[in-house]
Amino acid sequence: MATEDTKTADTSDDKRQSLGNSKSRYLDNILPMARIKKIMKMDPNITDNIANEANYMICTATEYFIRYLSREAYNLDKKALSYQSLAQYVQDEEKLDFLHQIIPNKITVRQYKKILKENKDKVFDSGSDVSSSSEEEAEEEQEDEEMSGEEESEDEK
Amino acid sequence: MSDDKITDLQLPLSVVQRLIKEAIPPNAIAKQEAKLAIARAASVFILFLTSSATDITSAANQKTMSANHVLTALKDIEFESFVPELEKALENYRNVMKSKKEKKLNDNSANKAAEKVDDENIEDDVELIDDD
Repeated sequence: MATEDTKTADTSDDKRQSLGNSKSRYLDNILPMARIKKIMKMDPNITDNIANEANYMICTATEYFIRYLSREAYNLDKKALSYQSLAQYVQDEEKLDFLHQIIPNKITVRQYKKILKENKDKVFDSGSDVSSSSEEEAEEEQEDEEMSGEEESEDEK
Repeated sequence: MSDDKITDLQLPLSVVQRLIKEAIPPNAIAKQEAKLAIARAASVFILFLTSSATDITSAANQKTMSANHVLTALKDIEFESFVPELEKALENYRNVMKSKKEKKLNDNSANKAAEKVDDENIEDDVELIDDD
């Protein structure tokens, strides 16, 4: 087994060298910096310029982040790195707040139906409110029309 | 920007997969669904970190995001545990860039020398033709 491991490590090094026309031969980042810059530019408030060093820092930080997330999720359940343990780690860790919507816990169909039903009840409750309020709005609109009609007739006079 | 494909904003899965394999024991299995979710999380992490670094850059009244802004941003979003390693990586990056620059300068001077030699050879050829 150990020999196999060293083999795979060798091939990845070979790949790195064959890929590495310049930078990757010396720097150990493997995520593409240009791609990361593109993602950074999605930010609506992004600064005018991004120093190459800053780009490199975000690239390396992202690599550490991927390793960290994989390691922690794997430690929860050592059978395999599964979506369930990943979601559990994300939901329990406060500093991963920004991922709560991205990696939600999985739920069963029964739970889903229950939530749906609850939401339906809510919609039904608020639905009656909406209809009453829309009636009020309609009445207001009618009044407005009458008002404007009067104004127009005054103008004509 | 509108020409950009959505895949341009995702990280290459093969690279993400390699990073995941580095993090877990050699024989451990990583399920495909988990890999995809981690790749998605990494993209969101970039945006999250960028947004925080942007705030710090603007608060300092500067127009260029620097490495230090990113490091401060990491502390802000509670990932200060990455900072010591990143500082080492930054030092390495600066050294590599420096040696690259020096190498380029050397290459340029070497190229010029080579060109000169070529010129001389051509002149020799011309002389030969003249003789004929």
